[in-house]
Amino acid sequence: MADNPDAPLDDRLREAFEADPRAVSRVAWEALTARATGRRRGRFAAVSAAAIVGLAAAIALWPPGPAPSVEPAGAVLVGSVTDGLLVIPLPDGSTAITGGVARQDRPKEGYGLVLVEGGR
Amino acid sequence: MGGQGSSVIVDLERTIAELAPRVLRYANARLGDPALAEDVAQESLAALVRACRNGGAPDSAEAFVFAIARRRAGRASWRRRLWAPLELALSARSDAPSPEARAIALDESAHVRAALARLSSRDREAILLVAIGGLSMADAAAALGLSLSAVKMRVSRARTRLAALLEARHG
Repeated sequence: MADNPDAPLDDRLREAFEADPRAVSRVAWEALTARATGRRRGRFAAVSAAAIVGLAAAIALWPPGPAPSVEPAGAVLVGSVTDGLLVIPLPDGSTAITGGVARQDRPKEGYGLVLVEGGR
Repeated sequence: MGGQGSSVIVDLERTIAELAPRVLRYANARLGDPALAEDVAQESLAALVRACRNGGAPDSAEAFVFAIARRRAGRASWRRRLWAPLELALSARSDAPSPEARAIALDESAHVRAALARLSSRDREAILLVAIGGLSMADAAAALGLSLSAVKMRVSRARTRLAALLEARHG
């Protein structure tokens, strides 16, 4: 070791950052008695994971709300979609055409209400 | 089994006692904050204790502890950078040293830290592990995830540059 040319530099580095002996004792003791902390963390993680799983299951299994009560119009309208446009022949012989712009906020499926305007 | 268990505990205590000053010195050099360094050293050693007690003792306790210390010191450094502007805005803590006290404390440690700061982060990391942490080249290579020759090259380059920087300060 005595003839190691790097020894003086390494010694100088070590001495510059010499650790406080009280801090060393504290660190060693805390590390050796850290099992309780680890268990606490493990228990906390397990409880958190269970809570997340429970919440996700509750959301997934929650029954859907009742369908909105829409009074039937007394007529069935049969429409078709062409090039993104909804074309609905109306009983009075006119045709309602709607759509054309895909809206991001429109639900892909579910209940909805279509308002058709027009004179008789 | 009981005898084996107690010998493992004695070995673990001995290992912790041997590693504690080294990893604390490394964390202190890396972070420049004794309180933060203590946290990093403690968490790294506690990870080794947990691994050993859970039957997953690593091949090299030194490489294991220093790899964790390195990662945690990096995270602590980032957290401190994020919080530093807020602490400055709130005038920091009242027990912080005054500018005069800080100027007086510009001792050997500060000179060495300033020289280390001028190394590239890769070279600095290598020499901190080997010279200050006291890791063998092989353990440093494992902790850094590098080949042995790459670590040797980085340490050699860091030593040469650091020696020149410290010499220049004294000259």
